[in-house]
Amino acid sequence: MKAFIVEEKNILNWLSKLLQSNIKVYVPKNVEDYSSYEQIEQIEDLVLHQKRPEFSFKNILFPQTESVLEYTIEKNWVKTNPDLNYNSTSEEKTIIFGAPPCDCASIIALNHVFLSEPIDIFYKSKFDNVYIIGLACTNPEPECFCTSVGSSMTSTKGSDIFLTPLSSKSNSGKEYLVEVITTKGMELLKDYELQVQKSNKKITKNAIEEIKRKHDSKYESQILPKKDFTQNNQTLSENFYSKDWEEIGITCFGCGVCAYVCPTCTCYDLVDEYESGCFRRCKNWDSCGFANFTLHASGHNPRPTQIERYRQRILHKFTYFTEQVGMTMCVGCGRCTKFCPVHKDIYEVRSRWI
Amino acid sequence: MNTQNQNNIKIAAFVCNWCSYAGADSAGTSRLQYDDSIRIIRFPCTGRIDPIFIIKAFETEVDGVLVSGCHPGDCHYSTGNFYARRRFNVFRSLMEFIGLDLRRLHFSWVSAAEGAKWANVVNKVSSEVKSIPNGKFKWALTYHKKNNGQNTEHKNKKTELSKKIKNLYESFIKEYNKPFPYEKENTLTEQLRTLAKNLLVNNKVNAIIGYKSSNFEKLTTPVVITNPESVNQLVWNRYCVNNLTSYLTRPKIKKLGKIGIVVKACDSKSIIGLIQENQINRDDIFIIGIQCDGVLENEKILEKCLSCSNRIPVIKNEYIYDKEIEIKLNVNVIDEAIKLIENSSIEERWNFWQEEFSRCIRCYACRTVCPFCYCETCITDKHRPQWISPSASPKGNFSWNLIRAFHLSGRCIGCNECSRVCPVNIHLDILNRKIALEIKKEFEYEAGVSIDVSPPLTTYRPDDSQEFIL
Ligand code: SF4
Ligand code: SF4
Ligand code: SF4
Ligand code: SF4
Repeated sequence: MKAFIVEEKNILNWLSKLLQSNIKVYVPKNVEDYSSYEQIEQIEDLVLHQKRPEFSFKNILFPQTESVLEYTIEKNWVKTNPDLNYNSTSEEKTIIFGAPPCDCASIIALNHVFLSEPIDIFYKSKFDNVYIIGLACTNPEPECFCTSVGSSMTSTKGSDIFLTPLSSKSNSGKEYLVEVITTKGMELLKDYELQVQKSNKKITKNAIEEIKRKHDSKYESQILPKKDFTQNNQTLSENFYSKDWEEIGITCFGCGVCAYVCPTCTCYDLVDEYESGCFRRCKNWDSCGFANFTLHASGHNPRPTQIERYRQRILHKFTYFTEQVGMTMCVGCGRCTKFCPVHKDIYEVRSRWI
Repeated sequence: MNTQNQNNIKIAAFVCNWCSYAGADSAGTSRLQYDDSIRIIRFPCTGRIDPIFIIKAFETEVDGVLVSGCHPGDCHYSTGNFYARRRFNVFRSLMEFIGLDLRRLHFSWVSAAEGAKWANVVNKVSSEVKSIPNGKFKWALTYHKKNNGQNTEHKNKKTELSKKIKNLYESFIKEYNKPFPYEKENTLTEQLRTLAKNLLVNNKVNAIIGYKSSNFEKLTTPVVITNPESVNQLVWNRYCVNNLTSYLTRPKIKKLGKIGIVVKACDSKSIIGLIQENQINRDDIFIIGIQCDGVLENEKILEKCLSCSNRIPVIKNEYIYDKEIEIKLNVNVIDEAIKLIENSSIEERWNFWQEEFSRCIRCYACRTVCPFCYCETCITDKHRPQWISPSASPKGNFSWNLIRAFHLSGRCIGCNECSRVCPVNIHLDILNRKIALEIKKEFEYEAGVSIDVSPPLTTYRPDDSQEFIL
């Protein structure tokens, strides 16, 4: 939509302004035992160019456990809690700042699931108030493979505003290319003015591309080699009965780590709980890796072992979703590989059939 | 801090039908007066009282729990209370360790004839509960209107204790993470492949579970090999962290018939446990022990390896090694951490564990990698009734982690796989080790040592300690 060059200190000033005005700001942060997106109160708590956090910001839009209904039983009558009213005014304005492109891209997958009919009002009420400011990745992990799923270290997919640091220009401090991607991003800049480099003329499309190409080429070699996982998805389904799945799935233990750290996994379960006189219906994360996930009341389980469950995970991400939406339901962040207790490597598995 | 509102406390009493319930009845018929904070729940036997009931009671905001049954030797079912005594001994020390004020948790023997003792016990328990100056008891409650139902009281609130423990671990790893001494991995791998090929070719086993290398230089991944041509996938090196014995109970693996499995010394202990618990048949597995000088994750030696004193598998069909002398460090950082925790105040312990558990995301990785978590349906997946809240909330997390630790008591062999895989690094190792130490102290039992000794909570001795019982 719009692009300009801004000095780092001006971006930070701008962010301080936002911090002072009742807007929640989440940034990638190390909290000793793990790293995730955490709320900060002051600009001093911000550390730019971190590694991609171990947990994505999915939790902010789609909390791991969320109360969707609350009721009490009074005089043999059920009374629901009217305070639990989900709409776009019920949530606070939230900014996610400095997210790497993989996490930003996950928004597109999440939106597809939660914002197509029937719309998930719990997600929508949060999404309407969330602004995503992406930051080009400068610290990839060895498990990353974003370039293989049609993304890159400078991809603006999913961001409202996107920042790319400019190399060199040592004299006047660090500078960033600021791209405004959506109307939401535009709004944010209108409400809270960002001071732009005066000296800068209009920046051309070519110049932008050049900046990004330079940035990408600098980091591309640090991640897994680029392959094309976005094409030929039917090869996966054609190999539905391949013996390989047996070999791959038999060592899967069936925990939920891969789904829980994954920025794009969206399955949830609804359970009723009781506490202190109040019943709550909770929307909790679930995982297709769990044996219970497809267990029928009759006791029959259409995906009886981890072999079928693991295959489902891969095929959902790379075939079914791609056929419907035109993008993989994987943004190449490599988290599932990193956290898998048996180091199962999604990139290696997907690479078998391209 | 205000004293507990004396009229407002509630104590749940879990009593057996035959002695303590009758004892309470007899107190009633004798018109003995006692404190009215007690709520009695009748069970067939103390042997039926699962610690989850006690946890559940605390969850529903009782201020104290009393468990009462027949005197040893008087059990209606002859031995139920003997088993219960061992179980509650362990449970009680676990609760003490995580910072529950033990004035809230009591056990007693009250016979049908002891109406007066019942009244005394109830009065004593309620006066102890009332003497706690912390105000109304707050277990890990979830409900919090402002925060989407989430109570984030402890989230990311590091305690002094957790900082100390972190430093302790770091200093140990720093001191002992010397350059890895062992350079003979290749010859061991060769030996392993030869043996595996022989076993498969001669039909001694139908499959071999071992490690293979992955895309990443410093990670290996488990592999199941059925074709003798594929044995060259097998590797043995310092990155073989997994405890492969967890696969032995998986239906898909069992179907393969006779299995060869590569084990390190620590992993071999879980095979002992699985045989003890009748999960596997000794004759159905061929155990390939392999010399281990410690394994690394993220270039750090695992804590368990620092304290690994006997590096030879306790049970094996073959042992692959060469003549090199290994170093044995025998320093136990987990034991040091336990001492640190035990020397802290109740509040510090409570806050420490609340913070630890508040991080849990209920991914159940700890459960799935554990060789002893082989139950077909885990208690946390049961929802009729729902024993443990499945939401990743302080309440559910607290019960989940406590009950899992308790279910592993006397069984956990300390492979520390659970804490290794935990994505939020909860100190499950400390919790498990604490119970193991307690079991060793009380019942002179160590898990994974001998097939012939019964696991401690499946047996009893008439003279087991019972100082904690009123
Ligand atoms: S499937 Fe794995 S690599 Fe892909 S987005 Fe999810 S966690 Fe990241
Ligand atoms: S505990 Fe002992 S046997 Fe187990 S991995 Fe460490 S050194 Fe090897
Ligand atoms: S592995 Fe850790 S986070 Fe996952 S369920 Fe177990 S304790 Fe919780
Ligand atoms: S250390 Fe953990 S994984 Fe290993 S046996 Fe004990 S509870 Fe199970």
